[in-house]
Amino acid sequence: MERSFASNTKKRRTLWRVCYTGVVLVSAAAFTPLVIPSGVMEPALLGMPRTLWAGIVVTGLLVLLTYAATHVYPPEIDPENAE
Amino acid sequence: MSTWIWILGGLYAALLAAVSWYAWRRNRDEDAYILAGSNVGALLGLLTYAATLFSTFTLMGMPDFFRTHGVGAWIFLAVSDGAQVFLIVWFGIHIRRRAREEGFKGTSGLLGALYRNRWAGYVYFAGVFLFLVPYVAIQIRGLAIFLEAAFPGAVSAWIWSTAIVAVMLTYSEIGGLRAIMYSDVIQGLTLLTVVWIIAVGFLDTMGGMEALFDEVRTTNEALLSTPGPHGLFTVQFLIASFFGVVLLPATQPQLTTRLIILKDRRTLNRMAVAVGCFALLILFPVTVIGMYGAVAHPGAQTRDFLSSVLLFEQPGILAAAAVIGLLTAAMSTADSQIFALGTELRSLMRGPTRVVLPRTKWAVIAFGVAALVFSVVSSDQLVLLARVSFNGTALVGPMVLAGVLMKKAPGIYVVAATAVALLVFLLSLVGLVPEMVGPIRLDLLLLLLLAIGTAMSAFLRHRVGEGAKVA
Repeated sequence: MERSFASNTKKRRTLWRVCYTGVVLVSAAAFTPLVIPSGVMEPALLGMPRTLWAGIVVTGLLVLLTYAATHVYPPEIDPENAE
Repeated sequence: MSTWIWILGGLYAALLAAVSWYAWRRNRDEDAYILAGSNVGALLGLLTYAATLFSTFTLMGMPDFFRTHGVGAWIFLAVSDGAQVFLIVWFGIHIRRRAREEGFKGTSGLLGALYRNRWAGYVYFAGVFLFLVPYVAIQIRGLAIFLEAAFPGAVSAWIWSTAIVAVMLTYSEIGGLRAIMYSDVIQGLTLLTVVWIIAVGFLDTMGGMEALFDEVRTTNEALLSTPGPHGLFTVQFLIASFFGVVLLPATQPQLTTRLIILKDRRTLNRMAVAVGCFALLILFPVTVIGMYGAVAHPGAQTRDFLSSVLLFEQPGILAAAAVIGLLTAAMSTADSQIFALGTELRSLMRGPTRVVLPRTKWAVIAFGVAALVFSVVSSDQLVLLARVSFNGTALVGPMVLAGVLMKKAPGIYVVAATAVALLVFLLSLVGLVPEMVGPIRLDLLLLLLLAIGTAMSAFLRHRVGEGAKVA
C-alpha cells in the first residue's frame, strides 16, 4: 500500500513537472514569431489571422495544462482528498 | 429602449435588494461579513472570481482596444489569463495553507505575520491602494461616459458616477462580501449573455468570420498582426503586461480573498479550470465586437463607438440589456475592489470586533469616495489605465510569493526593495523618472530586479538555515 502510494507520488511528480514545463514553454511561445510574427497575417484559419488563432490555441493549451495539473498537484497529496 | 431599461433595471435592482437582504440575514459574525463564511462552492467561486476579473474594461475597454490596436490584444489579455489560471492552482494551495496556519483577515495582515514584520503589510496595502483606486475609478468612469453618451443631456457623468458608487456602497455595507458575491453571479451571467448576443448579431451582419476579417483587411490591414497600427504591441509591452495579469491572484486582494474562502482544494481546482474556460468564452465575442468596430467605426471616438455598437445598433431589449450588462460589469469589479481595500485595512487593525468592524465599514465608504473623485479626473483610456494598475500591483508580487512560499520569514530588505520599486514606478507615471531604461521598459525592469533580488534572498536564507542545522 505504502509502496503503491510512493510510486504514485513519483509518477505525479513527473507529471507535475511536465505540466509546469509545458506552461512555461507554451507561454514563452506566445511572445515569439511563432505566434506574433511582426506584420504577418498568414496562414489564416477560418478567416482569423495567424496571431489570433495561434493565440486562441495557446490559451486553450494553457487551460488544458491547468486541468491536467489539478490531477497531479501537489504530487505528495492525493488530489481527490480534501485539505 | 427606455421602457426595457426600466423593466430590466427594475428587475436588476430588485435582485440586488433581495441578495443584500438574504446576505444580511446570513451574516452572523465578522467572518461571515468579511469572508462570506469561507465555505464557497465551485460555481459561486467561478462566477464571483470571473465577474471580479472581467469588468467594464472587458466589455468596453477591450473591444475598443481590438478596434484601435488589433488582434495583439488577444495575447495581451487572453494568453495572460490562461497562464493566470495555472497560477491559481499552484499559488492557491500555498496561500490557503498559510492562511490556515496564520489566520486570515486580509493579505496585508497575513504578510505582516509571514514576514514577522508589520511593514510588509503596510507596504502591500500602500501598493494596492495606490494602484487599485485608479482601477476602481476606471470602472466607474467607463460606465459614466457610456451612460452620458447613451442619454445625452440627461445628467452629467459625475452624477452618474455618484449614483453608481452610492448603490455599490449600499449593498456592500448591508450584506458584506456575501452580498457582493451573490450580485457577482447575476453580473457574471448577464455579462456573458450580452456579449455573445451582440457578437453573434455582428457576425450575422458581416456574413460570418471570414467576411468580417476580409473587411478588416480592407479597412486597416495592420490590425491583423502585431505590433498593430500604432506599434503598441511590442514584445516587451506584451511580456510586461503578461506578468501584470498573471500575478493578479497574488497581487490584488479581491482575487486572493476569493481563493482563500473556497470550500476546499478540489473546489479551488475546479474553479481555476472554469475561469480559464470563462476567459475563452468571454474574450472571443469581445474580439468580434472590436473587429466589427474596426470595420464599421474605424475613426470614431471611444464613447461614440461604444454607444453605437452597444446601444444604437441594437434592438430595444438588447440595448437595455447592454446598459444593465455594463452596469453590472462595472459594479461587480468595483465593489469587490473597494470592499477588499476595506478588508485589507481591517487586517492591519487590532482591537475588538465591535470597534474594528465599524471602522472597516467607514473605510469602505472612504475608499468608495476616493475612487469616485479619481473617476471624475481620470482619462478615457480605460485599458491603458487598467494596465498601469496591473503592472503597479505586480510589483508587490515577488514580496507576496516569497512570504507565502518560504518556510522561514523572508528578510525585511524584500519589503524595503518593494517599497522603493513602487515609489520609482509611481514617479515614472508622473513623469519624474523616464519610462525606459536604455532599451528596457521601467516596469519590466523593476519587476525583474525584484524577482531576482527576492529569489537570491530566499536562496541565501535557505542556505543559512541549512548551515545552522548542520552546525
